[in-house]
Amino acid sequence: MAEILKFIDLTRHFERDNYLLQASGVLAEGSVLAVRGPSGSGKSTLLKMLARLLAPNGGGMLYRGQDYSSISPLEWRRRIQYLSQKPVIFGGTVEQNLKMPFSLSMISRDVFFDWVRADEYMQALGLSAEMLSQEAQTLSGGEAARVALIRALLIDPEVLLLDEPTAYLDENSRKRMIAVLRNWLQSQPFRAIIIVSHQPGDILELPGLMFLDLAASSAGGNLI
Amino acid sequence: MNYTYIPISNLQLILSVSLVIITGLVSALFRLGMLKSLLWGSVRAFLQLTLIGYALTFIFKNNQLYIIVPVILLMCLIASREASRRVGKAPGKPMLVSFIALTASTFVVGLIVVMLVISPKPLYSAQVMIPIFGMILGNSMNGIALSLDRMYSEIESHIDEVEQLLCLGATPWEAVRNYIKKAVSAGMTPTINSLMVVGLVSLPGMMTGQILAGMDPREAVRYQFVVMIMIAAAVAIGCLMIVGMSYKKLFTDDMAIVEGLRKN
Repeated sequence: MAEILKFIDLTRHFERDNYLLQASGVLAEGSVLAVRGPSGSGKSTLLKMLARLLAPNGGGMLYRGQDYSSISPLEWRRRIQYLSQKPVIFGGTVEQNLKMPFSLSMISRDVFFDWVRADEYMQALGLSAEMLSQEAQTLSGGEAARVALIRALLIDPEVLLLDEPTAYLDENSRKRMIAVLRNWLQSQPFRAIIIVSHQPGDILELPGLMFLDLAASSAGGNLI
Repeated sequence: MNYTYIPISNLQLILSVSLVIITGLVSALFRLGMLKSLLWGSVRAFLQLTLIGYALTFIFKNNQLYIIVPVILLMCLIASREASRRVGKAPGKPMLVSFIALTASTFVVGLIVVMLVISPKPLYSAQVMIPIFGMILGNSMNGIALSLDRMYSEIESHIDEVEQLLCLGATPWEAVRNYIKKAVSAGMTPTINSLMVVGLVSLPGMMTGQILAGMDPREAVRYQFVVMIMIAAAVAIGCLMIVGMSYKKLFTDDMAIVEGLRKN
């Protein structure tokens, strides 16, 4: 399996509690890398560095063998989609939220909004078509998390960086989301996921699973 | 009808202080704790205006560009400090950006008005340039301060949305454009409102001053119209420049939000 994303000694220094996060890992096509570690070990920070939302203090990242500094951040984020722990929903209806990325120059250049896929994802995640006209700000946390995932999937990324994607979901919705992620991963050979989750049951159902453990203190993370 | 200038004598000036006493009594009666500030403010206003009266007399008498331009630049510097005061801890250099925006908008509009509309002789008349530039500057300063403050507060309170837009592939401009529009609108609203109600609700200070100084009101309104249009133009240019230059400072070279603005 070809390597999509590789990060080597990716480092971030937390001055607040004098903590050093240092992690290395390799993400291959069709695989899932689950990041584990106690609270405050830097799991979310690692995902944000991989999304290039936070600058690392050291180390490097390679996307398909190419150094990240030679790839535009827009192109990078187009390929590597980060979903934060707290789903972010914009003003307007659910439909407007799903279509929103297609008003951006980078996305509208090479992807079109696909109603069929949007409908498939909504059904698979247990969201009714009537919800499309609902004001998105009135969604529950679980509904917002599912809409945010669909919005990310519709722009065809290659890598998903998921920070606690099932945190706001009930048991049934959790199973649906894991099934959608599994199908998404297996439907194309070039896709991969990095996930942070406190629900071991969720991630164990995902294919090609590997773990990255982050230590509680200043030691670095190691790929197991 | 003769229009004459009515001078204010020293006695009349002292009489005006009675108004300060009334305000002071109100403050003392309701225990507002403002008496000290009120007295100090009145003393400062008197001293500052007296000094500027002498300074302007000196500048007008000499009427040299090498005096006029530094004076206007000094006014721009003071105004830019005031405009950026509320966002002092913002990323980048808000005071420098304010200075550039204020100086550029003031000089562009001021020079057009002085050179092409009023056309005094000589063209660089201090008696025309300093009051005109001062009026532009005062209004631009308020517009810029409002825009800048609104831009930072809007973006700070919507930081998650901005970051999410970046994640979805937005450029920094695309990520903040809605907040920028609100910021420009906030800066321009007072000027547009004053265009709407001028003459109906209030007589502007300049026009009032000219009428009190003995000018025919029909002439005074012509000046006032030019002044209001030039102020609107300067505020628009200033607000657009300030947000255009400032929003970029909120992003890193990697098109991510600068650390000072992040919550975590």
